[in-house]
Amino acid sequence: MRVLTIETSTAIEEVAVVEDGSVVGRRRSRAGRGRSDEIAASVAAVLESSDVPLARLDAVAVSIGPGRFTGLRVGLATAKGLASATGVPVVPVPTLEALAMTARVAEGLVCPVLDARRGEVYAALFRLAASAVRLMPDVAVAPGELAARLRGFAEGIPVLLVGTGVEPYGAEILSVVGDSAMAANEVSVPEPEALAAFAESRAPDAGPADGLEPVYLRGI
Amino acid sequence: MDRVSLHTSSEEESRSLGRALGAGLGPGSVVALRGELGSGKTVIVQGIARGLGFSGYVSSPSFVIMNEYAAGIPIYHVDLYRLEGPASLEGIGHREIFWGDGVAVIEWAERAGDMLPTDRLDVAIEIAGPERRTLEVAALGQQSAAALRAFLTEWERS
Repeated sequence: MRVLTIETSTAIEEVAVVEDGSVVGRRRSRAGRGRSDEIAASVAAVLESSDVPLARLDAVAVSIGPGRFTGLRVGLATAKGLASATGVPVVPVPTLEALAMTARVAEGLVCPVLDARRGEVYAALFRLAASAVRLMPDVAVAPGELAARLRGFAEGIPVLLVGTGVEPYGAEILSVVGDSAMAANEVSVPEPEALAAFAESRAPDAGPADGLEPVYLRGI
Repeated sequence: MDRVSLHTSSEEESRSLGRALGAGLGPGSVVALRGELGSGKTVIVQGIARGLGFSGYVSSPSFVIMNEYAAGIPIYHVDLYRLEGPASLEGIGHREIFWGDGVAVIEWAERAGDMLPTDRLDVAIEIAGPERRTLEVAALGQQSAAALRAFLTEWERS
């Protein structure tokens, strides 16, 4: 299966083509302040370098949020444009779930954390097995509040923090959660493989792309 | 001094006041403007944009909610008149605008409820006559207090 992945939930934006689970082309760009003007160019460049014509894509996997406002809108608009041009199914991928899957831990809990500005993080909690089992809905909360919630889950079970929220807030969260928590700096954004894997199982059931909206979480 | 009351007697003087205010702002600054229709909020924003070195056209983004002006640092000119409620702020990307690396200037800021950054300059404009305005400028945090001091220095000089 050939999946075009569009990940724009953080300032590190990436477009890739994933074929049967392997990345065959990718392009990363850094979003400017308040804009995401590289995405369409990245799509064209990646399809070209992967030698995959638009018409031969089986699905577009687009990171749907929560995350950076401008990026999510441009990413989704790009996906909708492709769907309208070719009829390719668009699969909205929950950003935090893809981020958790990117951690690829064999077992235990994964807490994806993205910097949400205004002193908050977007976060969720998953248990990773063959797929990700969600233990906490997507939330927008202060890091201290997230830490308090994690304590309830993490007693004795290791929990790994991943994402762009780790650098600014990881230490604060770990100090509350305690010894069972760790932070990984290597994984900060969702990888194309995780987006594609999510999309592969769901592409046959993909609804019309027109009605898709990014996920905007309300802070507390 | 964290709060000051000033008077202007013409639109041009209000614009100059805005310009002095703009000169003291930097990345992350937030200015929340309150005042009824016709009080001259947009005039103050025009001044602020000049003070930050932007020489282009500045008008209220009532329908589009936000204009961005490319000065040395970006200026986000926000008008919340048509906002349907504070919760709708998530749908305009307020996290990147209010907690961003530019200057956010917000008209009808009261419509944001408690969703504004706590460290900000509040500017309340009252109509004291056909041209005359009373402006209450309050700094609600450290960064805004520094901006207020810079503004007063600049204003006394002009």
